Amino acid sequence: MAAQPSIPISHMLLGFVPWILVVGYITYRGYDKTASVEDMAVAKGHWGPVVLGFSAAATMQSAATILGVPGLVYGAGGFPGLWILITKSTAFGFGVLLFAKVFQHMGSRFGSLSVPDWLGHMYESDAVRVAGALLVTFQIAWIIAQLAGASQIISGLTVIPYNTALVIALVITFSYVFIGGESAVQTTDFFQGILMIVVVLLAVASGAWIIKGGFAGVPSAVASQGGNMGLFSPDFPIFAGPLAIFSFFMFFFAMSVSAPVGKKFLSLDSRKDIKVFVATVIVVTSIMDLTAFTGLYAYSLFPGLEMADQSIIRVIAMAFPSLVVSLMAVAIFSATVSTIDSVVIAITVSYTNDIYRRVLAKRGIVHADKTEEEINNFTIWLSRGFILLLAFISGIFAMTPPDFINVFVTVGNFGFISSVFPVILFGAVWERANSTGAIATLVIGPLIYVTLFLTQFPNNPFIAGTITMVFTMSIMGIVSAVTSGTPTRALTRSPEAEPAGD
Amino acid sequence: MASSMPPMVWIVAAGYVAWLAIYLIGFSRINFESDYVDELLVVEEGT
Repeated sequence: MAAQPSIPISHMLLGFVPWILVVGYITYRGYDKTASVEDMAVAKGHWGPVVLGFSAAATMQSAATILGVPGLVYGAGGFPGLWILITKSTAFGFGVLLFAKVFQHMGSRFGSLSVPDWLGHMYESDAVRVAGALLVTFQIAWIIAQLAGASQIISGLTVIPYNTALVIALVITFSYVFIGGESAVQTTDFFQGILMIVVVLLAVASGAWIIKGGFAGVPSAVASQGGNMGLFSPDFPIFAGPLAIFSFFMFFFAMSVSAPVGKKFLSLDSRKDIKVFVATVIVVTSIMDLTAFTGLYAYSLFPGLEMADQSIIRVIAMAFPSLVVSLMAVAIFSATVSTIDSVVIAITVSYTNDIYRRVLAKRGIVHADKTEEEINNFTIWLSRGFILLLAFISGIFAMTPPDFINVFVTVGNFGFISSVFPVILFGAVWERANSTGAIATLVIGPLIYVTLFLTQFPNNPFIAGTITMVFTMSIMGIVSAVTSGTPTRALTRSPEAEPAGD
Repeated sequence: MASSMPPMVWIVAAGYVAWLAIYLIGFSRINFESDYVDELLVVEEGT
């Protein structure tokens, strides 16, 4: 087995110091622009469709892509892992294509600041809003997995211990979200997305010289290590067969409306921007998924890796001189923080705007004596306090890194989207969808998913999520059909629902 | 050389072509600027 690579700290600093300076400047600008709850949550109109498209793509594509995708290909034993290329960003892009319009149009009409807020407006129900907001908590697993990924990058390439790297990752990421809000998140995501594309293309290109025979020699190199040249990998649940592949597809299709990604639709200022936004998301995410090929390189070059997610790190450490590797490490680190930041904002807004401001304060349950302006100002500082709390909780959990980042991310995200996706889908296309059906789905859905997860039936989190979605789709359809509640389409005709500009 | 490629390579190539077709159809059929709510009401009035 190849020796653990070790990059001199001085080389790492050459990469990280300019990165921190750029992010620091962007954060400072973001702080200047954050004057309202809307600025903190969605920063609507701050940036155009290309920046937002990069931000959505960089949020979706993270350590789970840059590290996790090659890790899954490596774990699958080779070629079965390439299903990722046509079931991940492609399915995600399909979801963005289908849902961007309804989200942007209805979000602009109601001034929604998050996915749960949007649901609350669509179904004219605070119960739906609160249930959705609480479910976003599942996505903290996404933060934990990314923190683990960021720390692995630093500790994997240097002599810095894992827990020290974790503290560095925590401080860097949470400080700029704390100060600059969503505006800083969008700009840093754009900058980080470009870095990610460069590193992925360089890493994939390295196959030309690190594999004997170049790209054409990859199949024989994988075969020489006893790799799997077939379509499925029976010993690796994620790619074990057609149902597993379909479930993988369903996960990423539904991820297009996950809390941090769906929120980007709400940041689009004009419906004229949607087309460019969607095209940007599809192109950028597809390029980033090409990182799958480095999993094949790692399988043929480094058999017996203890942590499959370190595949791409080993590849770039072998292919490039240490100074270049340190710059590439910065890009991979960017991939993780560009996801953490958006998820942090999404969870924070769910609690501070959707639950505190929209429900508790609006109904006078708390702060009945405060003016609207005082409540808005309090919401901004409550959000910053909540960000610190999230930093503490996720840091504690990230001290033990998961075996496969992608699997851990899946558990957290499917816990949210397996219940929320049917509520969004039915609300958008079915006139009978109502708030009673939505609440039933949002309450029963998580119980089904957690039960399947805890009983380890099935042993694949993607299939567990897909099974849950069969149940939640049924619940949403049946309950809406047999009950009365606020139908979404009645709301669209109400006098209060006049468009607030495009 | 091509005949020695694993079948997964051909599936991925065909999959990319299929997705490209789906995206192009989607972009040509979906009018992102027309009002979503107006379209819903037209559908309801017609049914």
